[in-house]
Amino acid sequence: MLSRCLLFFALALADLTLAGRPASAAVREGEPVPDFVLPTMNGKKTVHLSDFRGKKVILFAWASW
Amino acid sequence: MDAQGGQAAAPYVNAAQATYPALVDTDNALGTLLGFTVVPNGVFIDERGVLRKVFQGDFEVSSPKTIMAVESFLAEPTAKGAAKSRKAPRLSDLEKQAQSGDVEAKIALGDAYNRLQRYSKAEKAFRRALRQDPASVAALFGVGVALLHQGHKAEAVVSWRAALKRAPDNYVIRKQIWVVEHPEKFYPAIDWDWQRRQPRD
Repeated sequence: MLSRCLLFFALALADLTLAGRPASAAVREGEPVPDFVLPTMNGKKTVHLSDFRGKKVILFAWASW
Repeated sequence: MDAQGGQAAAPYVNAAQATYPALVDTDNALGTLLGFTVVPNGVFIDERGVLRKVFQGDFEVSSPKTIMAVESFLAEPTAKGAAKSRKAPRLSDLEKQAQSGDVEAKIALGDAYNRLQRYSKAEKAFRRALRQDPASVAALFGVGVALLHQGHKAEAVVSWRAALKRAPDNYVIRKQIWVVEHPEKFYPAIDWDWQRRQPRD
């Protein structure tokens, strides 16, 4: 299963987390997702969404709380 | 977790023996992009880079419903072609755009500075945004993050409370306040009973 996709966590860390943006600012289903970049957990590398073009991406966003 | 960053998440990722990339979203980039107001969330993006499905607040990895949704998505035929998507803007572009009268551009710049841990500059960008739109939930949230990392916890909470007043259903902001004011209720283990007892006004 995992050979066909890339599964990654986006860690929404307690005080530094995903935010209260109005839903109107969001990308809608069926639209291309603009590229974004996030650091890895140890902060030593960054990962772009576009690194995974051509693969299915399953993103799991969670918080430690 | 204040400055703990990825360290606070590491025990969970290690316990899960995750073999996939684990990323840290310190400045709500995904919240901005996908409109999250709760977690845990699932997002499916196809081979073309098109958003196929967002599951908000009900994406428990071990639930049969989630597993079925994931398996169903993976079983879909490969989506061909490439959708036209915007590239991640460079900081220099964001700085130029923020010179305009666009509030969103100033917020995007603040977010970028927060991500780079340049919190003083982030605070300035968000404050400029708030001068134009004092009710901006995103700017209130962002300036709170910047303040927290400069050691101004009380001011950060004031800003987040102002954001919550304008977006009372946003549990990301609500929990953010809780975790900063009552870290002992979240680490090393979450006190769910305590959370259930908290007022929601």
